[in-house]
Amino acid sequence: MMDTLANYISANRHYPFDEFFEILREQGFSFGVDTLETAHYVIIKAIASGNLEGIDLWLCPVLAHSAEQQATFFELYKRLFIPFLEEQSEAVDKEEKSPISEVQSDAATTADPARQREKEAEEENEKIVASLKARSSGSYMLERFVQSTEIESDPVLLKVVRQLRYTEQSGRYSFDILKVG
Amino acid sequence: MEKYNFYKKRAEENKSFKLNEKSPLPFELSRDDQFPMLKRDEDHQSKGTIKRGEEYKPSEALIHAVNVALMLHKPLLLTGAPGTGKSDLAWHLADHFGWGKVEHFATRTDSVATDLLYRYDSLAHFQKVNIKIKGSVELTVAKIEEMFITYVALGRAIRDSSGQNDEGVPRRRVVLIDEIDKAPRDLPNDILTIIEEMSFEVPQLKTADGIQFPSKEKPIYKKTGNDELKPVVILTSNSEKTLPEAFLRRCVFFHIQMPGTIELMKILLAKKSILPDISKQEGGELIKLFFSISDLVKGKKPATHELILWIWWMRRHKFTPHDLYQFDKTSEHAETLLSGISVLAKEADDWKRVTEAITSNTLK
Repeated sequence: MMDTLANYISANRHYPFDEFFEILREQGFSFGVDTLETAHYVIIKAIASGNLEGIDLWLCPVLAHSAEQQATFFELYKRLFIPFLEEQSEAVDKEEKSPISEVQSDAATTADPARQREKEAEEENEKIVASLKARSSGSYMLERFVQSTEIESDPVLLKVVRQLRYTEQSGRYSFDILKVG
Repeated sequence: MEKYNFYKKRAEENKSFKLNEKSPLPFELSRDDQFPMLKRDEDHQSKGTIKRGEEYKPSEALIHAVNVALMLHKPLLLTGAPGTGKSDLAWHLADHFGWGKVEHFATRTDSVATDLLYRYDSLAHFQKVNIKIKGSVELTVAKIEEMFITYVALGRAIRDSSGQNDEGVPRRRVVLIDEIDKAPRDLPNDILTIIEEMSFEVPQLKTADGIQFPSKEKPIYKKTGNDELKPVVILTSNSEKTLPEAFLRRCVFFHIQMPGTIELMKILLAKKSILPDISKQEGGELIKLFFSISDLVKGKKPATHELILWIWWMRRHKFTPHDLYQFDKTSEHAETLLSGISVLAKEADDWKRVTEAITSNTLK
């Protein structure tokens, strides 16, 4: 079942779900094959419903089992998907602006269905990124803060900042010192 | 005299009471002077009551979680601070989808799976068997079920799904299992097993008669529901105790966070019967003030329910945020204004901190 699902997803979009599941596991999420199957099922349904901006909202109730995991899930999703989708869009833009593609594009822009699909996918990506950014309050700002400061050049500090987890109960950010090692 | 000072009003009445009269008439509380009560059931059309879950405004994320739970036909486990609307969601869903009354079960520390399914009146059964009245009818299994078994919550919902109700009409029900974290360790998984199998047994009906019940039919002690109309199960937890991992894996999970300003505004604007004609500007100012007060509260933070109560109270007294920002100690309503803070700050230290900020005009 999983193979078919993976094919279906990758044939339509190129989203790094496998990488994302791996990151979640590293962060202490525990899920077996059945949960992963359910997650794939939910992704397909989200795609089928055309609600690509809300895939994280569909997936989180299946994979997160506590308030902290829920917060971590949304945080990590944004951290992985926003740069990924932005990179994809930039790549498409660059390709369009290159001299060879300019020559080609004159003839093909309107006629080439592949180009059209790429354009649509890019627009879709932009929509998802906009939605994710709109829904993220402080978390995405934290990532931007990391990118705009010296933190990135300090691997230990960077690890600490990337590990920060918000705990609603205490209203504080915390991190696991063992994982910083 | 202040309109909502019931105590003072009664004192005035008592003053004019003459000793030679038999007794003063009991004080009557007007419905209009009180926060709207919850309507007990559909047929109870009392003035000034509101239906539970009415005007409930779920967040976009919560709607997604509900959709996922319905799609996967798994129970939805909700956590969140008290007052964020975990239980009200069940009533809202029942109303929104037209699934009738909510089957509510309040979990206790000694609850067992059968408490969620049926109640058996063993004492009445014992009396009936031992105190035989002349000419009384023999107790058949069907009679025992009718007289001594009462189906509740999940049990009733499973039976309803296959039309085993008074109307004989199969229907889907919403079952709310409140505060599941209070339950003994075994209960959560037992509940999920019952939901997944959509059947349960009533051992009290497993008499010789029950077993020999017409062989072609199902024995009367076995109750089976219709998978097509599986009940929608909402579980709530205050996270006082961790739930078994195996249980969590079989649920769809959602944590209701305290909403932000935009979500709160939507909630307030939807509360048309409690907060009629509230404008965006008025709501916005009150929400801002609410968060300023909430920041000073170190103990139990006020949630959405407290906000709604407090705004209702402020509006009833015609108080505005300005009255709190520019607190006037000499005003005749000063004490009344401060008394409303008890809705938001429930611990002595918090109440003191908030009132000090108000009286010293340092509330930002």
